[in-house]
Amino acid sequence: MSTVIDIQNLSYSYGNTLALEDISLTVDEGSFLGLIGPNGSGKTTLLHLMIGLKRPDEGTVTLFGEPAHAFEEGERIGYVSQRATDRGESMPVSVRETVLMGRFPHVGHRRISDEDHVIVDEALERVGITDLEDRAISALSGGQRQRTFIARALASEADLLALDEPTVGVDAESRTEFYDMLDELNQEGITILLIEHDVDILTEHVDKVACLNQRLFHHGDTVSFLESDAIAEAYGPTSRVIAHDHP
Amino acid sequence: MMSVRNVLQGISLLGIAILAALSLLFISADWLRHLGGPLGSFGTDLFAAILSGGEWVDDTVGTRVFQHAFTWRSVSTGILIGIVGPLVGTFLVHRQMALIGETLAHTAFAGVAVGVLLAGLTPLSGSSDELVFIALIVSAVAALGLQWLTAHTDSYGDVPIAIVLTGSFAVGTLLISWGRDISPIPIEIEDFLFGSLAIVTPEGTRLVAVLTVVVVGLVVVNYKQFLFITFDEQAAQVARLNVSGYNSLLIVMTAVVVVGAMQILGVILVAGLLVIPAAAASQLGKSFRETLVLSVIFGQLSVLLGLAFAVSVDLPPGGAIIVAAIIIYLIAITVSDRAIGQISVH
Amino acid sequence: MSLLPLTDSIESTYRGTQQWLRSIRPTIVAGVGGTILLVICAMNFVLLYWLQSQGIATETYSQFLATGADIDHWLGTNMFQHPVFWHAFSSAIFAGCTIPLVGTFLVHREQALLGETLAHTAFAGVAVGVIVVGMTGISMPLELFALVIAIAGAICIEWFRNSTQSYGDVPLAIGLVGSFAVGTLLITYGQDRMPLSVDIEGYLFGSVSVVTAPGARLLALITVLVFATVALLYKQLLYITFDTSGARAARLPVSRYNTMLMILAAIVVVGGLQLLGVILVAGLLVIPAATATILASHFKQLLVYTVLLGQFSVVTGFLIAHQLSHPSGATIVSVAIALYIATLTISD
Repeated sequence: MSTVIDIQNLSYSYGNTLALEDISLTVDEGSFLGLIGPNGSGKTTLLHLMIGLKRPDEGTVTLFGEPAHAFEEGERIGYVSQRATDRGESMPVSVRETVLMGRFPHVGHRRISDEDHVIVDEALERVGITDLEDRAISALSGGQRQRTFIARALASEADLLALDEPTVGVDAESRTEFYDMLDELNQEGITILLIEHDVDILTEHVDKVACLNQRLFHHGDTVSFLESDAIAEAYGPTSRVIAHDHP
Repeated sequence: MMSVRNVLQGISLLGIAILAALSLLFISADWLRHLGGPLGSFGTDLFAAILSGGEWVDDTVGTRVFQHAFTWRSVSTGILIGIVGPLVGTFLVHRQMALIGETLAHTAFAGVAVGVLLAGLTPLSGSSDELVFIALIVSAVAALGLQWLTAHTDSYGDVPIAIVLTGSFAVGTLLISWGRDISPIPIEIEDFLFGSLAIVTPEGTRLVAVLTVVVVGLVVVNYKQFLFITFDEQAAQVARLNVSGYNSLLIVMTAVVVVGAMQILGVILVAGLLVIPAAAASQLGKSFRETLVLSVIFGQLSVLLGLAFAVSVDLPPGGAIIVAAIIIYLIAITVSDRAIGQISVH
Repeated sequence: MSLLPLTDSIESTYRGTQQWLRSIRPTIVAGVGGTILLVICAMNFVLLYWLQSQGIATETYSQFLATGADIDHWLGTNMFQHPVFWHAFSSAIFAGCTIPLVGTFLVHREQALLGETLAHTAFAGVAVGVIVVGMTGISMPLELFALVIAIAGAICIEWFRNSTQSYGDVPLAIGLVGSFAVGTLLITYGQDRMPLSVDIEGYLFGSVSVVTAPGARLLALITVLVFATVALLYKQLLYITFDTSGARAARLPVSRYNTMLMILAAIVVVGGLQLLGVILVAGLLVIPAATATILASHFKQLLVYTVLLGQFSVVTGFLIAHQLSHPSGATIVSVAIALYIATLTISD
């Protein structure tokens, strides 16, 4: 199994505020890594560093064997940001157009071919939104919207999915369906990085957990995470995280 | 229902394409006829043919406008900026940069002022097309400066915009106030402020024709990239698009369009042609492509209706075009099923 | 809201700035004293001029001008003895403290460009005034029309922002070009058909010479109104500016304060119209506040610095414009921008 992301002794700060300190972890191909930590713990920052949106102050981040910020094959990364759906509120963009954007890194300046359209059709089908393709993003429910963005990642034939709290504002049922779909994709071999504030849901689906609050408190498989007291440490003594009742 | 919609849009686009082709034909004839040789005589013939065509239209419709070359010049300038303005504006509106056009227009005003001053200090003649050319350079440089300022100061996006807008207008005003004493040319500042058909020269028209071809070409070639960075800049960055490069291109294109359109619309109103048709189209468009098409159609309608009104009752074209655009916008809001009632919570 | 000077700025820069600010503390105290003195002087003049026109206190009024003549004598100038100068100068003093004060709240509510839009709406108001006065023949100050239309515009924009789903700057842009378009059409229409000459360039670029006695009086009233409102509602305004949702949760009537702030903005914009002109009045609203934001470390300090910077820009710019007969708006905004750039450089 090869390594997708390799982080060594990474530190990052905003001005004089230290956001991440001395973090080392690796993500193997095909794994499903959950990032958890309290608000402001640096989860999103770490995710951005992993996919090369930011450069580390100290240490190294390697993505598919290259320094993450210098990694050029953008089509291999599918990214769904926290704010990805905001723009859709007022900008008229159809579902099909959104998913087609996944092909843009492949297409460059040439015309979109029939082959690209076939791939888009498959991606729409895969997440079950084929019948919505002409709808504007603004006319979708939260769950449908997130499916569209996943379809975009599929259309780009990404082998790494980075998701930053993808189910904020999505109803419970669609959320379950959404995570089941992520499980399927993961089983097909796609590596997934996920930030999710709901620890219960997260631990139900991911196989690896990185628990952080500026420092890394735990990195390892989910079972050992649930047995450890990493979460109490990361969230601090005043933590109000509700205890788990999972087996 | 959808198909009727598509057919209507198709017909309108075809109409606009014909108008644009006619405009470009006239402008090239106007240009060619000043050249010597066979091309020159071809241009002269074509020019005469177009004007006699105009005379025929005048006779049929009972007007007295289409036989004059200056009508053709201003109308073709109007038609062309009615295409490029909304085209660029749609991207700007959805990048939440609606007021960037306004700002660049004011820097272009400073450019005109620099031109007036240079006419006093150097052998430049200070003709209006020279002023427009200097405005073009100043505005493009300011566009890049503004982008740098927004990226490198951590203030809210609208503070740098407000500062550059008022600052360049202040500098422009001072330069003109100073230049009026030392410059030999009586410059009609109000023409640049309010827009006027009188300052549309053959050279200005030619400039607009060139910028139209270049801007439309650039949008066609980079459509996918512009759409991606507009819709989701971060994802575009993850996909390793050269986001800052395309941002610079978009903003410089805006500067160019603004200067071209300034001749007819005037400094203050030029931004309206960028923003209002795009906003109207966004109320109705179901996809981005459709929005882009609708914004060009609405922009063209505004220009044609506005020009017709302005010419017929002798009012400034800029104001008339913008009022037409706003009427279209209000109709779009009324017709649209999605506008009012949705309270946005920030 | 991380840009409000309440929160973290980078430590070392912060320390450096603080040290520098301590060293210029006497200057700031002198500035505050000077500003208060200037405002008292201006208020005095406006009051005396009004009383004198009613036939009261004519003696004190002549004394005031005599003192002005003395000052002219000492300084070797020729301005402080003329009532015309004092109309314009006191207007400038009023504008210099009220406009930036209201601007501070706008800048930190991310509404920096609202002033620009309201100024253009006020221009449409002037145009409406030209038509109405021309048609009815009733003599009314054009500023009154500007005020009414600008306030109506402010309320419209606020409504529009709440009830359409467009981005915040689209209503501003449409309001701006829309009202200016209507304004130009009305004025052009009026110029041809009515025996009325309006100094349009004066309104566009700002001019020292268009400031009249009623204009100065209006600004005096506006100053009192604005300072009273800000003093009375300081806490509420600070709360809604810094944390709108917090204020909403604290059950403050946020939208009412919002509307009130926009109306205040409309009022000061109209007040500054004669001196600064349609396009530049927004500069005085935004630039001193932006400069003060770089320097100040808490909100009260921010307000004080804003007013000082605004006042300094206006007085300096005004005197330069008066001496060299340049358009006053442009010189004032240029001074304000020079201060902004200087501050940016120093704070780096």
